[in-house]
This record gives sequence, C-alpha cells and structure tokens, in this order.
Amino acid sequence: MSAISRAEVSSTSPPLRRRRRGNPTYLLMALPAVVLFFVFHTYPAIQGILYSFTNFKGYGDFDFVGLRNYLQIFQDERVLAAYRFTFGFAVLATVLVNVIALTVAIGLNSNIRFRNLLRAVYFLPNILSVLIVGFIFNYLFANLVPQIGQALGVAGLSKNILGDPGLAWTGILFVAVWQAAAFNIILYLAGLQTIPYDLYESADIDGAGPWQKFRNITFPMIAAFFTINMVLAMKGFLQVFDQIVALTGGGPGTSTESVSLLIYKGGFDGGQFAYQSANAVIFLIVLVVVSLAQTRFLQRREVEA
Amino acid sequence: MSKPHPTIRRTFLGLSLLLLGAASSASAVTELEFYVGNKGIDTWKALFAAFEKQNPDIKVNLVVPPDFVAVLKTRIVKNKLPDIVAMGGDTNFKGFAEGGVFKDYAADPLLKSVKPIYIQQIQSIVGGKQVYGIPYTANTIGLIYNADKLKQLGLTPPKTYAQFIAALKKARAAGQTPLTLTLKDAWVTLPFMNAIAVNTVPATFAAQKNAGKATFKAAYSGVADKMLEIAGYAQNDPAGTSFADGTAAFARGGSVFYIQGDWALPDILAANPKIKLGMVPFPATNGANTVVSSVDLLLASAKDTRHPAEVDKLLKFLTSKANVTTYLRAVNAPSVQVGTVPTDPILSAMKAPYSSGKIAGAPFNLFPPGLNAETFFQAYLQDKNKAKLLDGLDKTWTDVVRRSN
Repeated sequence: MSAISRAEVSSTSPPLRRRRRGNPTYLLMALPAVVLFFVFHTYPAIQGILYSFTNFKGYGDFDFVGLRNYLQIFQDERVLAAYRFTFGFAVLATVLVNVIALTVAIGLNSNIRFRNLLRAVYFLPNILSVLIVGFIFNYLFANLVPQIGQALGVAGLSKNILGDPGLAWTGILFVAVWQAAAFNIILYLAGLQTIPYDLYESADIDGAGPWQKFRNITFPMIAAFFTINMVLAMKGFLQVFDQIVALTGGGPGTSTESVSLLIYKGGFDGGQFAYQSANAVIFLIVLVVVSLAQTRFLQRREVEA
Repeated sequence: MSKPHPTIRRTFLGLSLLLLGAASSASAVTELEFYVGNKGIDTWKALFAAFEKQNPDIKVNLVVPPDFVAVLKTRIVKNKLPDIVAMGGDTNFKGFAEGGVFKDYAADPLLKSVKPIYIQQIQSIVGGKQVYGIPYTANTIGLIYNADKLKQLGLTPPKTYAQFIAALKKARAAGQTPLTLTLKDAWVTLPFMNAIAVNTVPATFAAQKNAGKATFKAAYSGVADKMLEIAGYAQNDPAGTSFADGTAAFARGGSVFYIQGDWALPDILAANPKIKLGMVPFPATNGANTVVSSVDLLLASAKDTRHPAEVDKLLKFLTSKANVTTYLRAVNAPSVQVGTVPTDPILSAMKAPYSSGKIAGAPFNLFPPGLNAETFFQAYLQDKNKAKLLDGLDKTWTDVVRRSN
C-alpha cells in the first residue's frame, strides 16, 4: 500500500505507475512457477557454475582450482571434436527440418482431401518418446535396412550404418529430422493461417505463378515464424542427446559424440563432474550467443521483408 | 485458556516422551537399505526373507535402481548412501572408494574366507591397504565355443594362441563363420582386451603409468596387434552388431567361437537352450595362460551408516557358506571363497587355473575412471590405426589424472 502512495506522490512515468498498481492476484498466479523454476533450474545451474571452479568428482571432498578446468577444456581434443560434430549436425538438421517442415506445412495448408487426417499423421512423431523411436530405428538400421541394401545392391546400406564411423551420423540425422519436423510443421501451419487470403486472390489477378506467390507473399508474411523455427530448431539440435543415446551411444569410438552426451558421460560415469560442469557453462554461453545472433540476424530480415 | 502450571507441563512432556520412546523401542524395526544392480534379484529377496525371519527387528529394503551408478552418485552427493551396496569391483567402485564413502573391512574376520587374490584386487583398485568391500562373487572371461561345430571341424578347444589362430583359419576354410564379435557396444572391447592384456602386460602397469614409467605405446602394442588379428576372423559387419544381437546369433549357431565373460552364458542359453557350450581360458599366448577373474559383486557398506551392528549381522548372514552357495547357484557365477573352483560344467576347463591360482583381476579395473578406453578400442578395430589408439590412451590417461587432482 505504501508503495502505491509513494508512487503517486513521486512523479514517475505513467507506465511504471500502472505496473505498481497492478493486481497482486496475477503476481500470486505467477509466483509458483517462478519458485519452481528457481528451485529446480536456476539454483542447480548456479551450483553447477560454482562446481566448475573446483575439482569435484561428483562425490567426496573437493578443492577450488580456479580457472583450471576452463583452460583444460580448450586443449581437450575430445571436447573440440564434440563441438565440431554438434555444430555440423545442428546446422544440417536445422536446414533440413525447416525445408521439410515448410514444404509439408504448405501442402497441409492447401485445399486437399483428408487434410485433417494427414495433419494428425504428420504430427504423430512429435508425440512419441525420442528414446523409444531411437530404439526402434536402432533395430531397423541393424536388421531391416541392411536387407534392403543387399537386395538393391547398395554397398553402403548393406551393413549397419550405425557401426560405420563415417556414416553413423546420417542415421542419427535421419531419426532426429524425422521426429523434429512435426513440431515445426505445426508452427509453420499456424503462421500460414495468419496470411489473409485476398493477398493470393490479387496475386492471381496479376497473373503470378505459384513460385512467385511463395517468394513474394507466403515467405515474407511468415518471416516471424521462420525466425522462431530456425532459433528453436538450432537450439534443440545443438543439445542433441536422446537420439544418440538410443542409436550409437556416441560411437563408433567417439565419432558421434555430441557436447551434451560428453558432459553426461564424463560428468556422471567418468568422475569428472567439475570438469564437465565447466564444459556445460561454456556450452551455455555458446548456446545463448548462437540463439541471440540468429534472432538478431533473422529479425532484421523480417523488418526488410 | 490459561496455561497449565510449568511443572505439570514438564511432567506431561516427559511422560509423553517416555511413552513415545517405549512405543518406538517395542516395535522398533531397523530398516536397512540394500542397493543392487539387476542381478539375482529374486535370490536376494529369498535371502532377505530368511534373514528377517531370524531377526524380526530388522527389515531389509531391496532397492534396484535403473542406471545404478548414476543413481548411487546422486545419493552419495546428498550424503544419503544406502547402508549396503552390492556392486562390481570396477572403475566406478574405484571412484567411490577413493571418495572415502565406504567402510574399510581390512581387519574384518569376514574376509578370512575370501581368496587373497580377490582381496588384493580390491586393494589395488584403490591402491592402498584398505579393503572397501567384501568380495561376494567373481566373473571370468574366456573363449566360449560351440561344441558341436568344433567337433564337426575335428578340432579340440585351443590352448595356445597359435592353435586358436589355426582353428579360426580352419573354420573359415570350411565355410564357417569363425568368430562372433559385437563391436557396436563399445564395452565389449574391454573383456576382449583384458583377456589378452592380463597375459602380456605386467600387473604393475597402471601404477607404473601413473608414475610416468610406462606407456600404452610400449606395453599395449602386442595386445592391439592380437586384437586386430583375431577380429579379422569375425562375422560380417561386427561393428554394426550389438551385444544382444550377436549373442543371439551365436546361440543360433552363427559362429564357432565367441569372446565374452561368463555373464553372457545365461543369455546364450536363454536364446537357445539346446546349444552345447564350452568355455576355455582365453588362448592369449603360446604359454600357460592366466584367466581374468574379477570381483563381479562385492558388498560395501556406508562408512557412516546409522545401524552398524545390523549391517554387520546382515553381512555375516549373507557371507555364510550356505547362503553364498545359494546365490552362486542362482546367478551361476564363479565363487570368491577359499578352496572353490567353478562348478558349472560349461566352465569345466576353467577349473585348472582356478585351483592352481592362475587367475588375476582385469587390467581395466585399474584404469582411471573417465579414460573411456573402450571408445579407443572400438574405433581402433575399425580404422586399424594403432598409433592413434596408443597415443590417444597415453595422452588421455595423463589428462584425466591431471583433471582429478
């Protein structure tokens, strides 16, 4: 109460005053989520950051070692290899998912038969657990795909591609894209439904072809959805984990080890809790930087469009 | 309402506390938590039921967590270690024991019935005189063979490396698949490596390596060569075959030989109960071969358990000869007890090394956690790049040790 009276006495700007007078009910409604988020997310994250300056194994005693973990990460070939793999994978997967999702969404948005059934079918992979899907595909790659490859006489597919250091990533990429596309299709569909139909009608009158319509109407009009899809897909694929656990476990050797998997393996099985915490902190910064850079770059495009 | 007189209140409080105390001591059941992986669960349950009958004041809660090691670690972090943990004498145990969370049993009479070799293993894993767990069962690695197929080829189980390679060659010439390897699972390379290294690498390697006096480059070069030569006789696409698929394939008569530990035998027999199996000491050299036998299960107890007397009671009960035998029969594992040899007919060829003491722990158990040697060997058996394997192991070992100091 006193805060409001003081606010009224002091000549603050109107929006601030309005916020001050805000109904406390909304604050109370938001509070549980804030508390939960802090307890289960923010607090452990801060703990992890603190541990990254120690030599904590995950149990027992530990000492502070300053920046030593961070310096060693940059000389760790396994970490660098994991970053290379993760970025290559994420860029490829993001491009593929967005191309596929946008194509399918345009198809599902047009006037076709069984449209709602098809939408449901395309959304299915999103409901399934990543791990279960991974294990199913693990079986398919081991048993079904080699048989098809032998029947077709394709040498590359005649064996389990997950056992080949040069090919295993393609299996992971396939499963990840197959599963992730569903969610992005939904977002693109939502975007496509915001485009007023009369724009297309006038384009028809001007004699525009389908490609011109896509280039000059559809794509600019869903620019904001394109941005959010690119950012979300990239962020998700940089954190790729479940698919790899279910398909290769990071193998053969360490050829399909993503940063998340390395943090998990090293931190929980390898007794390098503090060292991998440092890796996690660096990875967090990398993720934030990538997402911000993407957002800024793509939003500038939106404005121009 | 007026407050009652303080004396009355205090008396009442005292009385109620007394009552509470009496109630709790009358029905006091001490609960012990027993953590175990996923082996022999029903047998544990039966043993605990018998124990609880003898000791009605103790209740044993069996906990079988998924992802045993990760769950155990979270418990250790929270300082809520289970009263008793049954786990392997492996690199995870090494980490926990070095973290100082387990009780030292070095002076405990319970160790008297355990073969000294297994006690030494537990000591050397930590590198001191302490024994942070009571060895309970052992495992063993060898060369598993399909007896019928071997007979068809007119061969006897190989005793030396030369005989082994000759047998592989003969099997291939006869149009058979000589060997099943399941390299899609990286860990499979470890028993393979251990079976050879235990015969060709000095037992002091890990200590020497930590002192900077030994290298993989020098000590493991021969191991790498032999692994590669043997792997050349594997089935099609070993890199794409998982342990589960390969074990089933071998059980269906997919190959003559299979390199695994005794833990694979129940899986093979489950896939094909009719198969005639045998296991011989791994023919790693042309001399007399030592068999890898590590502590498969040890019973460790929390250093600061709240019920030390009850824990001791339970451990005494579990390590009695009758109960050990019950458990061993159920999981079909070699025993760690003095004066025992493997009794399973499949392991009959393994009796000699056990009775003559030609057994040793797996070299891998002395590697630092976090080295991930299996990933190096998995990659090596595909790219065949020996220099990369040995240099990688040398460098990573140094890095990992430096990180944890």
